[in-house]
Amino acid sequence: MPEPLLEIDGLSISFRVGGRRMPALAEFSLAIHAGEVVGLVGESGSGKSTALFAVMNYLPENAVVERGSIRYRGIDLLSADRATLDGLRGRRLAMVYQDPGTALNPAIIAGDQIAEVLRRHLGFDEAGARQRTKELLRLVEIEDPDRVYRSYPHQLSGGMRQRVMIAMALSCEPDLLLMDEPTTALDVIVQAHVLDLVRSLQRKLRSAILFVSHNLGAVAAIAHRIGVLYAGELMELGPAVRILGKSRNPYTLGLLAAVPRIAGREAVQGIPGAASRDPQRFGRCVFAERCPSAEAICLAERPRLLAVPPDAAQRSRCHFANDPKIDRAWSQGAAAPTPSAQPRSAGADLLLEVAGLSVEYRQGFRLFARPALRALRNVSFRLPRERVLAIVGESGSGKSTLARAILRLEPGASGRVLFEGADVFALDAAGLRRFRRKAQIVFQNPTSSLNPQRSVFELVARPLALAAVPRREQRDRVRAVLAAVGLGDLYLDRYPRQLSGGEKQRVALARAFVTEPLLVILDEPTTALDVSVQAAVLELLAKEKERLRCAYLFISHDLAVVRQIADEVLVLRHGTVQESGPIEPLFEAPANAYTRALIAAVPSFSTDRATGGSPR
Amino acid sequence: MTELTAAAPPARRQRNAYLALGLALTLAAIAAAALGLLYTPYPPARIDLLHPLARPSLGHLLGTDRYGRDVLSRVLAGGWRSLTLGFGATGLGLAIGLPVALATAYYRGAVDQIVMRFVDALLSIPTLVFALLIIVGLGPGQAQAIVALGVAAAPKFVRIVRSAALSAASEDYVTAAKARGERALYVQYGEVLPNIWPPVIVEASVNIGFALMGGAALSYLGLGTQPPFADWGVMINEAQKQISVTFWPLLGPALAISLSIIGFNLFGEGLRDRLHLRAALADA
Repeated sequence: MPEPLLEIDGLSISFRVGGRRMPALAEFSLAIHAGEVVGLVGESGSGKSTALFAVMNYLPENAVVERGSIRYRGIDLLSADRATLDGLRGRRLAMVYQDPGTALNPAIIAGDQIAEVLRRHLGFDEAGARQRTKELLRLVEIEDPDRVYRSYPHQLSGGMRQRVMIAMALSCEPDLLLMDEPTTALDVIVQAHVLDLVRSLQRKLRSAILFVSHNLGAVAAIAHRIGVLYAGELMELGPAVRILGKSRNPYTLGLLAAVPRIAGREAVQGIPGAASRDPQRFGRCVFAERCPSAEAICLAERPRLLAVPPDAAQRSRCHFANDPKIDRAWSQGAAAPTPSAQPRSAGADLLLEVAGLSVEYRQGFRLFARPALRALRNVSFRLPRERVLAIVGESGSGKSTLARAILRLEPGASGRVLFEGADVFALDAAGLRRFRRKAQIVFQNPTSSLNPQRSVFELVARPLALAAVPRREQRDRVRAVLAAVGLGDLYLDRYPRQLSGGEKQRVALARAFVTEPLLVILDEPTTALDVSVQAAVLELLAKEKERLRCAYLFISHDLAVVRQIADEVLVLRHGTVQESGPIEPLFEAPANAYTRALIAAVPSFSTDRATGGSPR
Repeated sequence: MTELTAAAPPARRQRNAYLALGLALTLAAIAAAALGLLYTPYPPARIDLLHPLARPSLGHLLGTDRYGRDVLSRVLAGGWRSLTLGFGATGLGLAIGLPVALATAYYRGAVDQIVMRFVDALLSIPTLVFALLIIVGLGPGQAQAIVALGVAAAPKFVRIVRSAALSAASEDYVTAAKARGERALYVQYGEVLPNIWPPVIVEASVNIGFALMGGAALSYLGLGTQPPFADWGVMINEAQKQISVTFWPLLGPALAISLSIIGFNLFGEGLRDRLHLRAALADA
């Protein structure tokens, strides 16, 4: 084996927070060889970004490297002096950030930002730098390098900005490219293009890549080897095919079971609980309390990274890595797939009908009115009772505007919204109050949707208080609904800041369900959640729909999630309906070109054990 | 990624020291004013023409003024008038500014634009000049000074509270409240207000110091508290006429007012840091 390009050895990092030390990464070791793509997957708090930033020596000020070393071609990066680091960073090691919107300087045209790197690091003159920049822009498949060169970052789309960032990172032909969630801020089609680009560039340039993401699909599409991080511990490491197809770690297996698949309606299964933040967690298995196969030893002893036969290329941090029982761990709890829509006679029992709905934003309060911005044009659909209609679209498609307009929260809305046959826009005050009790909304970001000054009880009881439900009954109903969303009485007096993201979203769901609504509008309800938590929330949504016999309007950009829950789909783009219809035919044989592109763009991977997973 | 955005450790000890010092000075000022209502070494208006402009001595700890009145007694007795002015003007400013700010942040649109342009116009007038203009209309006196300084402070409160309220009003919990049919006043006072208390409290305590200074200035100009009643501004006004002879009568009221202003400011800023720190910790 040749000398690795980058060798991280026994790296432990903690953060000082309010006088305490919170460990973030424990004895993390990883070697990356020249030309190799290594993906690091993990949920929030897994330490994946910490590991990445440590390589660049870009850790925040309150980070403490407790132990370990990071060597690049034998140079210790953690103890290197400023001059050595300056010679390496940007030249030999280059970084691509998650948000290209903030990583580029908004006041300088894009081309000059790349040319500056060339002049500084490689001694190009002005004309030469300009020439080379345009070549680089062409390399990242930008068709119009002259225009992009002259553009300010805000004039470029998110995908274009990320291409510019990649071009900048490649400008000095680095040996190692570090990518921190490079596709997370992008829409799904753009994400697919950027992943394709990175893959083809990597083949062309043969540089090594350390690719960090929470998105298993994105990592699977690109990595040769995958490392799985959880709560600061490397749980499993090995060739991508084996991690995806023959994982020997309960956490990896749970993660794989939690990822919704675009290919078909299979039950997704959540991992109960939330990641441990206990500073003492590294004395045992960090996953023990959520693991279905855990035994006494898991709480007593930290597992080593065990080699998985046939060779040591795959290693798993589990006491039972080579015990067949972990294969069965997640199959026990698997629920039957959500029953797909039973065909019903059209028009029977209609709950919501939207006809010719448009929303215009008048721009500002101006003497000379500018042309109004049309966020939604002539949208029509019908939603029968107890059914799930998914509204699918990328950012800016108008899907959230649609949700707000239906609830009469958009002043610029025109058209008709009929709820139980009554025109929502024409309701009087009393009628509107009744409507608001029957139609609820849940937002994407649970932190923003819960008033931080209110306890869980106050939050969930408020809709009941509005409906003049007596105080004593309120408590009983709040308890019942909290139990239904999987939160016990313990939570009644807690405040949102004491809850994890998944718990907060459960509280938001409880608040929506407590009035026993007929319609719940779910605006990207799982987007802000980790994938294992997302699966649990999806299970909960399916269960509650049966219990309350309500209908969902499920707004999402994630087609794989939609496939798990929806009966019908409506595809929205730039405020207009592209295609709509029952889920199965639409996913199997989309008629619309945009729908086809959307479906094709979802990163997918196979975990089929017979064939072995392989990057698409 | 939360671990990467966690706040760097603040110099907590230093910030707590500011807060403690501010709190101590503030409480001392309030205690002195309260004491002055109950007890003074001499009656504050007792004239002793045999001992004018005396230096500090055991009999008169802060000396006497040009009529031989005991400066310490007058500082104590005048305290409550000065503090009433500070608290009163700030309370009035809040009472005007808070509802306007919450309403504009809630309704936005044309109402917001018109109100805020008007507020901007008022903000362009220096606060003290604004207060002077009002007091010209109302006539001199303690109550008039409170009204003038309170009204003059209101535009600043509108600006600060509105910007905090705007960001709170853009949170989903406000949309959620509207979506479940809450009334406008409940959303403003039940959902938005509890989340913007920190900047409001901080601004109010800083403003108390500012109003103390403004009140002293008005009294100094003869437009606030009227002689023979003493407040710290009036005392400074009277004492500065003899500054070429002696500065001792000036020292007591000047110290009282400076320390109070410093106290309220340190308290406000210490509180701000403390609240920010707590928010940072809660997010971590």
